[in-house]
Amino acid sequence: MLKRRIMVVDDSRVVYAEMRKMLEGSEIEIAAFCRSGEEALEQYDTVKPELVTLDIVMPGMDGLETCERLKKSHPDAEIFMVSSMAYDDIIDQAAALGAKGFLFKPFTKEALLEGLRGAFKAIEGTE
Amino acid sequence: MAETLVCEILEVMSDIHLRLAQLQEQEMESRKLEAIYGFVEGDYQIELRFLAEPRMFSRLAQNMAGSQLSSDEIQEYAMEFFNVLCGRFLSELYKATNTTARFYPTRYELHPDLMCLKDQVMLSTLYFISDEQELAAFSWSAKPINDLLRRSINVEA
Repeated sequence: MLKRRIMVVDDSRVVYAEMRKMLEGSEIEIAAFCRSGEEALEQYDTVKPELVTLDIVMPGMDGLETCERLKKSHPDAEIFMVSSMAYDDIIDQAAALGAKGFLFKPFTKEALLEGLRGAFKAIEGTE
Repeated sequence: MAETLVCEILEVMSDIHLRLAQLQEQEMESRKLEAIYGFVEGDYQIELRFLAEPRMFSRLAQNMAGSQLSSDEIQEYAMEFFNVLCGRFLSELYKATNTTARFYPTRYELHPDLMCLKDQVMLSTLYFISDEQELAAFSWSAKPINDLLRRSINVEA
């Protein structure tokens, strides 16, 4: 089975470890893990993921700024936001920047899979 | 609101069940506790703290990871729980008061100074007891939050 490749951007290794465990056996695989927005911008061309999951609160460049810069340099980049911060304006900003979904922490395996699958469906719908 | 958040988030992330408890300060001080601290800046400034017995932090982390972890890894998992708790706490405040702020986790302390627990004017604290009788407490700076909530009630009125 050809797997869907995602890049996880989060300053916490715990989130990466949890996502990896939750995605085991599914059609989605983590192709790369970046601990900052800066690292994600550097890695994007090499990894070429189908979807980037972005944490909002990170030291240095936050998730929204990373999303904006990534979209500017790679207009075809697809973004999925993951955060415990649920301010309406953050969600609106993420949507305005073209994010294909928003998942609130803490999340279950079911919520993660549903969110990512929904994002892939939305991407296919716009292609 | 904070009580429900702490219980729900801990349960979802680590399957540990907490209930609110009426504890005396002496009970907390008689136990070995570890603490995570953070601060918030934006429309308001507050400090946040989560205290728990090391055994509870260890269970929390190992339940999340599904495997045995080193002490450094336990701290990382505990910090992630605290980040999520505080992010959700700020989101609930946003809903109630339409104010925004950003959360910064600061440190994990193995031997926290509990003296500030005695200053009830400065901190609001909720005490909890776990399904395995471990103690925990979540605290935040009381005055800024009370002022925010009072202001938002006045605006609505």
